[in-house]
Amino acid sequence: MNKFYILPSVIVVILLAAFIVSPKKEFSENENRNLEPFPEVSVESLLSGDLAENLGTYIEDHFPFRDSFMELNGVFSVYVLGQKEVNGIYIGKDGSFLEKYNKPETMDDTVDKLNNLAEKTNSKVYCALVPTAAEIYSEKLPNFAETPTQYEEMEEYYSRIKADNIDVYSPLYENKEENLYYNLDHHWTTKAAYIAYREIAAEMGFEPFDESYFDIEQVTDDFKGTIYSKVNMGADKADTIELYKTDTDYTVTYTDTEEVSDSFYNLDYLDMKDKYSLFLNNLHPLTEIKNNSKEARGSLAVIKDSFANCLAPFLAEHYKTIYVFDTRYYRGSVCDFINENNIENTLILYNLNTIDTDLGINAIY
Amino acid sequence: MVFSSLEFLFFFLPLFLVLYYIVPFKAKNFILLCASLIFYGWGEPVYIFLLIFLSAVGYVCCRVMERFYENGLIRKTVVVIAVIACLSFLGYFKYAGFIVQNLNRLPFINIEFTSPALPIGISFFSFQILSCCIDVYRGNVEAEKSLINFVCYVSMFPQLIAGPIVRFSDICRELHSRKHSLNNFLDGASRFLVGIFKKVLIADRIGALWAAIKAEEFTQLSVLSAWVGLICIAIQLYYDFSGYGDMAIGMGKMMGFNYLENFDYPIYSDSITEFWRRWHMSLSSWFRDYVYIPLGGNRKGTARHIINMFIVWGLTGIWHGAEWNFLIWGLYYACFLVGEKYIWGNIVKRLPFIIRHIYSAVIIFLGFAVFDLTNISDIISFYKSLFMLNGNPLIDRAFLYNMSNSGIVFVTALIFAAPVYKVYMNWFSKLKKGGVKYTIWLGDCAVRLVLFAAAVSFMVSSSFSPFLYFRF
Repeated sequence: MNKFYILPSVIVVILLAAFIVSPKKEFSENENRNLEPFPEVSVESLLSGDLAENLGTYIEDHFPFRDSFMELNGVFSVYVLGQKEVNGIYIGKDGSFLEKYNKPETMDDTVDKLNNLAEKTNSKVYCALVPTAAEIYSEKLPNFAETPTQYEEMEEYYSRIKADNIDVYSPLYENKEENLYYNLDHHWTTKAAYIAYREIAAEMGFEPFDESYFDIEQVTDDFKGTIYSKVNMGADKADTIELYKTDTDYTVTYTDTEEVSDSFYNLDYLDMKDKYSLFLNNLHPLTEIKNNSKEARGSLAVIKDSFANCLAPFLAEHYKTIYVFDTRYYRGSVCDFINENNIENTLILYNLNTIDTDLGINAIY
Repeated sequence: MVFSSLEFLFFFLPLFLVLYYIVPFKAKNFILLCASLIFYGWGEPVYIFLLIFLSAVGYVCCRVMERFYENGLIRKTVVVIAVIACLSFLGYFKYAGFIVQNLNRLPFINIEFTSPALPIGISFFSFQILSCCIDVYRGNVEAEKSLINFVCYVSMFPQLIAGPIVRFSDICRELHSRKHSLNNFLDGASRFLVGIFKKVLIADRIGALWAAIKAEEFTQLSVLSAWVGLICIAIQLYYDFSGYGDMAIGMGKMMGFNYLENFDYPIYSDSITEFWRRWHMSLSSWFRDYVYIPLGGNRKGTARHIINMFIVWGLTGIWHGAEWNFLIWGLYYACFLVGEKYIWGNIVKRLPFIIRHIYSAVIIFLGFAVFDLTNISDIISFYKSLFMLNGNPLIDRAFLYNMSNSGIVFVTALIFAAPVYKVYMNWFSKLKKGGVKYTIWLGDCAVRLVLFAAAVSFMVSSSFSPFLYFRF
């Protein structure tokens, strides 16, 4: 019986050797964070216990075959132990992954901030709240998982926010046979954004373009996003990203870096893990999109989370100027900006899962 | 450093073992001592000096007692000094804050005191020093001549921070000569791995299930959820603590030491008396030999016997932590022990096997709720939910979900809390050599290899979860 234990002992030694000789990465793409560097050795760090702690993290972060071990952990948890969720991601009945929805805890504050915006500005304010995959595809949730309530929460937000509500829930639900959400990322697909855009256009009073108007281009079929980072499984379900392109002439200005582009997309992100960031070049406090064609009208401010990044290109077809805010990073007063620039329309767009936790909403004044 | 962390399993332990095995026997204890101090200092660099100081006090006391063994007065004085030294350090670091806090509740008393950080393992190593001094005083064991060996005994890293509480008399011979063999090493490795499985694959996951149940409102818990939660508390502690003990015993064996067992399937007991013979045995026997028997045990009449039991289990409770709930936890069991001794013990013995086990398990589980829940109002609403007194439902969606999510781990944990593994190993060792045995062996190895890979992958994936018994 005992001879077997030579094997684990040898494995331990091999992994130790592998750790010592393997090159150390500085950044984990999968987890989207910097890995712990080798700690500084000093008397103080030794006595305070910091050295021990940092060394421990260093070892964890650079452990050989780390990503494979994490995948194995997910596979073991789900397929051997029968777990129905891994790191806050439900394992759906059909094997798909659905991000858990957390009920709002700060709805009062959120509503106050958004109402304040609606009251202070002279702009006409619209609000669209986007359900997440766990809501639209609730039939895929594991048995006995918490019943979906996003519809009720949405209704409550809508009844309390003093803006023109745009119901994107219904068209998404009616088109659920389409691929509305990425398999391995929590965002909606460009297709879903297109469906929402049609509804938004109807509500805001302009004629949306047919799908055939756009030149649909698939830019990757190997997108493994935030959900993948949490479950570390299902690489075979990697997603495609589609861009709905047109010939319209744009000037996109990222005011913080003073970068100017004629495209909404930064395709450099295709070489990285976080490929969704290619929409509007990831995060910027204020992005200005100018439509240089003649037909476009007026101006629009967008107060939003990352769901809006793939929606903005559709809206840009219709507005002369769009100001896209990321209020987590925008330091000034959004209300003053809207008034000073006489922006006619304002669109608030969040997904129902992050509207409660989005730190940017508190920064709106 | 915890045993189930990557830095321990893949760095500290292999590097230490290589060094340990290449040095000559004379240097092995010294290497072990150095490694133990590094291990201890890893988390608590400053308290290394406390550990060395207390060990040195114990060493000197033992030597003096032996030198003046015939002189009863000196011997008595020295043992009192040793006891006071150990208990005062333990008292200052562990209990002073609690005592002051409660004294301050009395009128006219207002003492300013901030309790210091608790040195890891102080409850274990101070008890080891104490037992050694008392044994030398009693003449049960010879004092250790070498300071290095003595400090090595006190600080030996396998058992330093979470037991078992090793008696000097049990390992003094092995400190001087012990056998190192591949067979011993592999025996130890096998035991160590069982400990890793218990800790990483069961205790931590049962802990996650309990955390999920604990996150619900206690008044709304369904009855079944509450019972699963209750069982989780005891089961998690058992797997965590005994897993740690398995690792300690395994590492001891890798170095040729034979530590005594600390757990013997306590959840599977058929009376509370039996439970205390199987749970944390090194602590119970410590209190038996150094408190209970000196107090007179059961030899001074029924009244004294009952008082002695309450004293011993009160101390056992408070040993686990300076909080009222630990005291209550200890006294709770004392009530049942006294009851079994004097009132219903004979009735229990005549009950059918299965009923006896249910009786003990329920009482054990109910007791452990107090171990985990420290807030009185939480405890009350949790108990009410257990017995449907909150108007809560018998079963709910959350229960069904938790069971479908963690049911396999929960049931596995319950099964292996009974001596299934022991029975299997006995059966296997008696199997005749041949194809059947070989096939089973191969399957067994495959399972263990998968579990090992799963355990490592879990350790890699989770930011480490410290051992529960660290607080004590």
